[in-house]
Amino acid sequence: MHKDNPNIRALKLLHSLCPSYFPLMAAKSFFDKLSPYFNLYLSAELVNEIAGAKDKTKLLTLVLITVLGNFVIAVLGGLLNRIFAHKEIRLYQREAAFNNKKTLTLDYSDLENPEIRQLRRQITESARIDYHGQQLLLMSVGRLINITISAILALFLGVEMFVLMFSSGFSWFIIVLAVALAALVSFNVWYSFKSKDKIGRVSRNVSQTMIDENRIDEAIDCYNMGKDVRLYRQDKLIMNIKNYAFDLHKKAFRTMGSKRFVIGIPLTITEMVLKAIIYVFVCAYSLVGAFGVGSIIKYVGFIETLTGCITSYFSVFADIKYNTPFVKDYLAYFDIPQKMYQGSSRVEKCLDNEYYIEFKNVSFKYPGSDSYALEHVNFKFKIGERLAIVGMNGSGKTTFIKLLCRLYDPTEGEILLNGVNIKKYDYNEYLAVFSVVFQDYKLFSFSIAENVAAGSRPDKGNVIEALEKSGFTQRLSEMPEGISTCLYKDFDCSGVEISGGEAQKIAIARALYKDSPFIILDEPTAALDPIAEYEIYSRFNDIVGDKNAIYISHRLASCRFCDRIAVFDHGRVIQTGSHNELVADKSGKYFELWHAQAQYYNN
Amino acid sequence: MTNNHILPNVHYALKNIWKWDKKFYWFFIPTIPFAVILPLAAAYFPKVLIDSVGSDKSLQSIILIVGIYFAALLMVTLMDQYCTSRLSMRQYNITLHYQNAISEKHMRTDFSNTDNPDAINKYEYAMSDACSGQCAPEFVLQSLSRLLISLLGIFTYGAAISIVSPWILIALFVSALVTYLIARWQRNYVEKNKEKWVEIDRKIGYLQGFSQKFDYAKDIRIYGMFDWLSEMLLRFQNDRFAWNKKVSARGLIGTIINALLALLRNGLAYAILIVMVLNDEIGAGDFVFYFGMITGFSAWLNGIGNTANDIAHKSVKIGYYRDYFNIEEKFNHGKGCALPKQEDLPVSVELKCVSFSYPSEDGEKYAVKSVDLKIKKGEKLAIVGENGAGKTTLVKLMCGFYYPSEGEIKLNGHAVTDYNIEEYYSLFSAVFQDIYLLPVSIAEFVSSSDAEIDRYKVLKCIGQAGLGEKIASLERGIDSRLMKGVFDDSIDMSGGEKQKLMLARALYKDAPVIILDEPTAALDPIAENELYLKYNELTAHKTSVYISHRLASTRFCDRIVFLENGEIAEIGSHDELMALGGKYAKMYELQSHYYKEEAKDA
Repeated sequence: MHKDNPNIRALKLLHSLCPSYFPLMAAKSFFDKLSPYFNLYLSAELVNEIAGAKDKTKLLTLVLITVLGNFVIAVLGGLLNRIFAHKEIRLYQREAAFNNKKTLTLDYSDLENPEIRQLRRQITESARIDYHGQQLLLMSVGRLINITISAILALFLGVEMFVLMFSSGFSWFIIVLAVALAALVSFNVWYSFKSKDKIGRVSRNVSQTMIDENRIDEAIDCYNMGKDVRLYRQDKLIMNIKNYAFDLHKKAFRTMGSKRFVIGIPLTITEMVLKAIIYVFVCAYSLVGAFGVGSIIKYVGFIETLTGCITSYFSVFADIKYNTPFVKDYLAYFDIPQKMYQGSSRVEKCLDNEYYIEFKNVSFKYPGSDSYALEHVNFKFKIGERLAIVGMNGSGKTTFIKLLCRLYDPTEGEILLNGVNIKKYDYNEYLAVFSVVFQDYKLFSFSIAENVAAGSRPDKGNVIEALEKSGFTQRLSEMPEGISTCLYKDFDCSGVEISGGEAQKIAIARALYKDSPFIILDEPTAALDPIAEYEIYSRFNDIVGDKNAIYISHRLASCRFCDRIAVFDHGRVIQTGSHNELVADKSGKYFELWHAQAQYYNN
Repeated sequence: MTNNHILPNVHYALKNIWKWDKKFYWFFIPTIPFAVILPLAAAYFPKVLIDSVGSDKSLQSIILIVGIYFAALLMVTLMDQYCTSRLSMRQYNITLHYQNAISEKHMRTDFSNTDNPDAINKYEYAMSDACSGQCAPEFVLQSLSRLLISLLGIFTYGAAISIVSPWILIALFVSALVTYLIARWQRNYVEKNKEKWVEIDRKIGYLQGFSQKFDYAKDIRIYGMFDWLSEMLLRFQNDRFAWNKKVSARGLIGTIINALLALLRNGLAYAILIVMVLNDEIGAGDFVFYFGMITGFSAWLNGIGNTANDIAHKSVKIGYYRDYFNIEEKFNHGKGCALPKQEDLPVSVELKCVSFSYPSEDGEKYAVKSVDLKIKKGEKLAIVGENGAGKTTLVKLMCGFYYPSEGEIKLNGHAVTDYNIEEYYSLFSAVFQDIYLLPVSIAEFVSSSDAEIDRYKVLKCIGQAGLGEKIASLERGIDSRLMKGVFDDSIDMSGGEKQKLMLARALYKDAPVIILDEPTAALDPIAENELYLKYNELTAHKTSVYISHRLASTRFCDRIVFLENGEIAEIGSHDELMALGGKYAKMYELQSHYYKEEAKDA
């Protein structure tokens, strides 16, 4: 097989995650498959003896071997099954961790890329429905090993049978048998191969339907949208969407059910004919004395399993073939290259936070978008400066921050930190320079302390200090376990629910705890009431300390703290200056924005 | 759990299957005898053959026997496959019926049943079973049939065996009992400890979820949390693994004891059969047949224990559904009094000493306390106050989402419970802080319907909400579908645009009461200002309630309610409250501080 075969690659990957998995799988299969042959063989001997000499000692020996042998096989098999089951869990655990690692270290620009999100979702959803992807591959390999072992064991019986048949003559009879069997088996193989494709198409159809259905279902957040549903009578609309998905589902399953049956008919018929022929032949040879009556069951058993194995072989290969695109998707996600981590320069530790940043003719388009989110931005950032960024919705404010933090690289132009292109720095070290509270920040369902410290070993004193600065102290005193209280209930059932304003304060505390040279706040007061907002404003200098600060807000009053204000409009910086300078320009955008809010407070 | 008796639960499940899909039974019942006949035939056929060969019958007669047997087998197998395929076509239909019924109930029940923990639990128990792929009220039928098959199997096989020796039957029963006890011992261990690893599983699930939750990515990167998260995942995986080992150790003990039982059982069976053979009571064919019967009988017996357990287990889950569908309702879901007529509009809303506490909180903390408030016909009311002062709760009480713990709410003189609650909802247009979209077209979303949409009105409302330009820029205009990613052509909207869309929907509904809860939080200053300028026009001839942090907006309102800790602290017009110099005035000063100072500077 080709070196780049996705199935081989995927198996190598899984093998590297848990090297003893496949050997154990083979050992376990051997014991699972051994028991039926053992019984076929011994019961044939037993029946032959009963139908023949009825020798007591021989009967006793045979019975003892049978029951003890079964016992030993069952115990060893159980032991191996247990060890294998453990390895299987380990494999799945490691695979999950591997998956996590990939997502968590993916370049951020890839994470926001709709195609990659789609790929990720596709992989998850296909895996959930019928285990498509690496799981089906593993199951197929398991079946393959089972079949191979079965076939090898069956062949031993087969060789014995043919030797006995040949020695009793009628060799032309055997040739007829062989030809008839070969014809029927090859029909079966050919037909099941052909229909497997047909079934595959139908079941792919069903999978796709279920994926669509799921996506529609997940889009409807029934759990939280209760108010809207009731006031706007959206229940009818929602039930129509759900029923649409329901109908898709019914149709897909109906097609699959009827196809399966019709396609299965010839297979069932040939299987029965095959078995009938085998029975007749084996009985005939037994009649002429080639072997005892007990052996009828043994040899019929051999041929049945052997032909079964051949058909299953092909069905497994058809499964693998059908599953290959899913395995390709699976690997494609792991194959996404990581570009951000190529830089190696160290960020020099500057005392006094003397960092400076320069945007040089920076333009940026989001992946998959035709229009510029930022265009020809030239911008310098002085040391220890407090910068405010204002502008209408969609003017490029948040994009600017994302480029600065190197979540994205510019499409054109370059960004310099202390005169060096930021791409040249070690990525993790560069990120460490920034503390950011994003507009859509997320807190985790861990303890407050762990959230603030963003790690498992929080410094208690610093955590409490950061929370105090962000104005969370009063609420903290109500928490059942202080800073060890868990947030939300996703991770720990004893967690507490907090309001948007409280969450925002914890997010600010997290940024403060990190204590990096730059602190960036994207709309940090949107969810706060006027009093909390005032507190944050009035303590802004205290909060920010001697750091470089960037502040984005719709509430222009907050910008007055800042040394400099940059006004963004349609992806460009159209004005910069202090509040007083900008507000003096009555024809400027800043004046328009300011006036829209200030008018209500000025009389 | 109130509904936990097996018989009524099973009856409930069967009744619903009958109601939703009668044909299910048509194809189901025939598969039961097949399941007994097929293995029985498979055990009897070799006996016939061995006897025939052993008694030196002619090849022709053997061909005849084989031919008849396989012809019959073919017929039965095909019939069985036909029924099974028909059943597989219907698979999950009942599940989907239940999922839809639960969703529908969830959308129709009292709103408070969607946000109090007890009711949420009931909902989640039912829904998670319905979504598990093993929906108990559908799959209980399978369990019942397995039980029936096992019973049939026991009778037929038992009859055959009792011909040989009733003693074997007793031995088999004893062996099955031991097997059952071992299984119960294992199950008890699992039941007793399950909670511990369910807890771990939840943690693992949360941590593994980060491979999917892309919106956490920014924070994880900026705060360098990757190593920590991985370390935690590994730790919990190891904890989970330790439990797996403990459970599987008990599994292994079970395997060994069962193997020992099989040894004794088969040893005994062989001994008895061989003695009979030696006494010439039975032949080789009988030997094979009876031995097959004995092994088969053990399997049926073990099956009974497992299926009985399975049914008990499913019955508990069916109870979840019945609990949820019978959940208590406080509002009037039946017939109500007539809605206000055209000449009675706009309406008045009166709160009489209304208090409310959330059921989750430990008792005495009121979210709203002793509120007396009469909103006059056509009045424009503003509600202000700090975070957590009870503003949103108050509005939810008015809308009929919560039932007051004390006091009463009246609309045009009638208590809320006099109205049918769904008709009552039709009196309110509201925009809430939280925004939820649906995967439908803009027109469908704004009109909340997928038929008889007044397209002109949709466009008008979208214009009024300040979204006209955006919609005009879309290729398919108001027919564009919302929620990017659901359909190939779905579009994306920014936070501000979504908020405007919510406003457009409220305007389209054109109800007598309009409620806006922080409708400008995501808007830029210009868009915010535009909304203020249009506020009077939008709320003309309506009773309106406006909640905002931005005190600038309260100027357009006739009266302002200042809430503090759920109580009305101050009430009056802007000028009155400013003159009062109380809490409202202080808050207003705070907020305008930085805007005003500029005036002094200039």
